[in-house]
Amino acid sequence: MHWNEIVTTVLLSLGCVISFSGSYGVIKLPDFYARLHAAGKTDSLAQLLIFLGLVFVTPDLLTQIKLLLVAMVLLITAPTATHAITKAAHLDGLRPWTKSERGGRP
Amino acid sequence: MSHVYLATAVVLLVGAFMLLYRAIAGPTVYDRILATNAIGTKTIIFVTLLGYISGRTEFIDMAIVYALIAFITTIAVLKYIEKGRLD
Amino acid sequence: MNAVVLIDTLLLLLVTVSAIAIIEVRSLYSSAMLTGVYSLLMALVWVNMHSMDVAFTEAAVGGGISTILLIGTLVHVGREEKPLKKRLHVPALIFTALTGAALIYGTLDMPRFGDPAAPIHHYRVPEMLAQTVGFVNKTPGKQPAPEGFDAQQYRTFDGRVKDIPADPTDTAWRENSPLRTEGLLIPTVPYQHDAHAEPGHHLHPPDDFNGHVPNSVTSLLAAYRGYDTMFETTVIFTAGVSLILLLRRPRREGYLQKGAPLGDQVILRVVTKMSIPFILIFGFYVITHGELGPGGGFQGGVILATAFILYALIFGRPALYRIVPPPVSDVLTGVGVLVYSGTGAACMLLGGKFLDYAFLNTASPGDGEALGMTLVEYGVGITVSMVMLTIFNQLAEEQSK
Repeated sequence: MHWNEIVTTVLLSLGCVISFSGSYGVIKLPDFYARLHAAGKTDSLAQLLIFLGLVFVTPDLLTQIKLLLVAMVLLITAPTATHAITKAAHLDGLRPWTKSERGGRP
Repeated sequence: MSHVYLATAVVLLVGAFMLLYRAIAGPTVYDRILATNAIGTKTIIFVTLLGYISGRTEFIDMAIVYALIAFITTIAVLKYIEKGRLD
Repeated sequence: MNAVVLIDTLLLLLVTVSAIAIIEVRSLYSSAMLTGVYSLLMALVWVNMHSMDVAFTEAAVGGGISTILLIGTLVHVGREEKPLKKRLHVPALIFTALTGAALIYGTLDMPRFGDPAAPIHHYRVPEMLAQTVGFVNKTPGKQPAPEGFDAQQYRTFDGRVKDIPADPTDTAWRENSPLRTEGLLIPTVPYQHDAHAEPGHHLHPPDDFNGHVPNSVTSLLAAYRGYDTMFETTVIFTAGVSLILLLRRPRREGYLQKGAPLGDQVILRVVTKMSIPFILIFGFYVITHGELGPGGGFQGGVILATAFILYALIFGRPALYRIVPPPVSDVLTGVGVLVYSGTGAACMLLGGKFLDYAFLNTASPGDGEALGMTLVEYGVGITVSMVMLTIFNQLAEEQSK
């Protein structure tokens, strides 16, 4: 294995772990705002790591530039979408879950 | 190397399953919008990985297209929920 | 269990779950969003089958525009389904089961997924691959292949059909084809190319029926089936016109009403201003690059339309009407179809048949075909983008009463 394949494997596995933990958090966390942390942050980071990892195994320059382009587009639009969802929920009156609401249990 | 791509793709699909559960069972509508948006982002990564699994590099165009489309769809849905109209 | 089958199974499971969810969920905008998810997953199924053009169109149209337009109809219809008592309707169930069984029985006759002995691989595709498609020729007739291109690798499939000859009039290999032994129909009358029967025979070498464009899907759609694509564009134009006839109100009421823009949110406004030029350029790139890679007129047109729709969502419909007034978008829906048929008419005026693009550049017909295909793809792109914009405007205009 060349060094670039090792780097790609490490970055891809890291991206996988982060993405999976984000999805798991979306199921288990008790409240919308907590799930927002899980889905929004992990998604943006995982896509960045995975696309950076794929850059190292691509043979030609044009595809590498396109990969970085997709990563940049997602880096700008995915957090914007998360922000828009949060703002809409807050303006609608949704309030965060507090521990005393259900006797301290999630 | 293709095993790494395949494993990543399967993990992303399993993540999509879990998000689909939240999209169906989310108590508020914002849970559903969040889950749909996250499925969209996972799909973008998945399309690129499919390109690497099969050895063709034209799939990146579709990733760019879907990134832009998912953003616009989320904004449209949010505008409807916030303002009640679509213009 | 290789990669393709595993991914296909998981994707089809996801598709089934989301389809059942669309029916079962009560709230209608959840159904609309799940429809977007369904379209997206179907696009992934097609990416898995390597049919990129179809996947492109499904993602752009199904995942993007259709979801936005469904949300637009929700404004009129309301948010929740009326609660129905769910009873089991036995005749409907039996009829549906019988129809489904008949469909499944019909698919048993089709070749297996990825089978190299399928008719598509023996009839047109070897001839098309054998004509060294994609290399712009400098002289009429069969052009030489570039360095390192080995046409031989495209002529054997899985060891079963060896050496399909380059000359399509030599059809002896069909006698030994596995399709003949397995009893499937293959055409026994070979394609007789009468070289002097039609104008432009000197421009089309005997093995050239598709044009010299690397993306075989685009060349099939725009050259081999050019009439079909022209009438598809006309159908889209008709859809836009019918929506205008059905839904448009007199001018005074409709579109000078103040919209409800999201432009007061700073982050959304700035990000939109950054993204819209990029989306527009990318839309034009997809239309123009359609003959070299996945893409084409339909996909690029939809992407252009989504850029305008994003502008309308964030800055309000009156701002969009300052940029693209309704008279302009109405006229442009027709201009696209006009460009398409105009290209065909230009070919006729230059001495050939309708939509015979080789006459656009008789010095090198391959370039002429590529030019003709680019022009018609632009026609398709203009019509599709303006029709999608018109539909969005009509649906959003309806509720400003």
